[in-house]
Amino acid sequence: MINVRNLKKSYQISDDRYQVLNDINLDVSKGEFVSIMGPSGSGKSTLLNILGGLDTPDSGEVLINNINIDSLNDKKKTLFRRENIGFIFQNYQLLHNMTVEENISMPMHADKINKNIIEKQVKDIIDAVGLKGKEKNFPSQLSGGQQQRVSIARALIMNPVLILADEPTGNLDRKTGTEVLKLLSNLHRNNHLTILMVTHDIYAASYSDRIILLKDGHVEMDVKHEKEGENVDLITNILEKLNS
Amino acid sequence: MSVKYGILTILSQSPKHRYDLKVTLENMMYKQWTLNPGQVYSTIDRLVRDKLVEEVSNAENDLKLYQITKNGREEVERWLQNPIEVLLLHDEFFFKILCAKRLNFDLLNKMIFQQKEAVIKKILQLHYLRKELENTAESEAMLYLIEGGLLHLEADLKWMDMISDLEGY
Repeated sequence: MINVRNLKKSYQISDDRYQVLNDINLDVSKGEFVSIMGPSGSGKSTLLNILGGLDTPDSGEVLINNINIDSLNDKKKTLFRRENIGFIFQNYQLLHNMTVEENISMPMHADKINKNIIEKQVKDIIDAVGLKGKEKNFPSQLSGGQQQRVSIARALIMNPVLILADEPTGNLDRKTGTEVLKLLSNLHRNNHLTILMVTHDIYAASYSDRIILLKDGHVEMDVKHEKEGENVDLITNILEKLNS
Repeated sequence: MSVKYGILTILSQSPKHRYDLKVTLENMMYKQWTLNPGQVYSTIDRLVRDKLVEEVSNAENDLKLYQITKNGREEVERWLQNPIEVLLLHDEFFFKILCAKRLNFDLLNKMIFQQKEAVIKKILQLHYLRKELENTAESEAMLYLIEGGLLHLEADLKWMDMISDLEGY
């Protein structure tokens, strides 16, 4: 699904050159929900931007379904992004003069899809993200959690193969953030979506199946869940933890 | 976990015989914790000795039936209401850090890395357990424990990151 090979990226700031990503190698399979964590400046957002074709690497390559996104010209890259990748941002990035349904359907209009198909898909996705009754509302009339739901619906409307989420719960309190994470988790489970989520919050990361820690531009740790024997003595451990 | 208070909690609801008590206690823990019968039975004997539990006659069969006493109910109430003393060094990793610093242990960095990895594995385990429990009835109490476990693990990770920063790793 995603193959990252020897990825390097640096930025020039004044006289200094900062190596943000330093030889990253990574494989993500279809249907995985992966969290990328790390301190500020560890390169996690840069990595996500390169994966989504929003930034270009100095060297190395990123393959998404065997397509090297960096090798595409701008027009093809835009089309590839629109049809294959859904983006979710911390600050939602909604258009404030557009209603909920207009925000969600925006990528479909760009593709000149039939109006009836658009209406049907927007209705389905609004139901799926729990925004029924809010179709005609403007973003300013919604809570932060609801705005993020709109942004998730917009990310999903083109049936992407990959969702890239940059701190999707970063602006939300824990209760609302948890609702958004549960929604992402359910969509992942029910639609076999591949999700890469950048977060600084281990609680948010606990909704994924795999956690990658970046440090100083390289992969410090890559932890997957081992399903076998996972729950042996687990409760005892929790209780010991709670009593310690 | 205290078998004593688990038994008293179950007997607060209805009298039970020994084996039934063991099974009910295991079910309360979602069968994630297998109890040693000897541990349960010796605890019942101690509770009888301390007059927190008493034997009652059982007309249906020869199995001994146990019920909670007034003192036993008061003991559960007292236990529920009293805060638990927070003992930092009960967490072995706290103690390990103390010992490693005392020895100027040169692999402290590796020690923290491995512990971080273990904590993240545990977080992912809890995630799967939460997923399983979300689809079952009567799992609210266990979901609370999972959330509590996650918060503790989150704090552990932040603490290890802090030590790494201070040590310059």
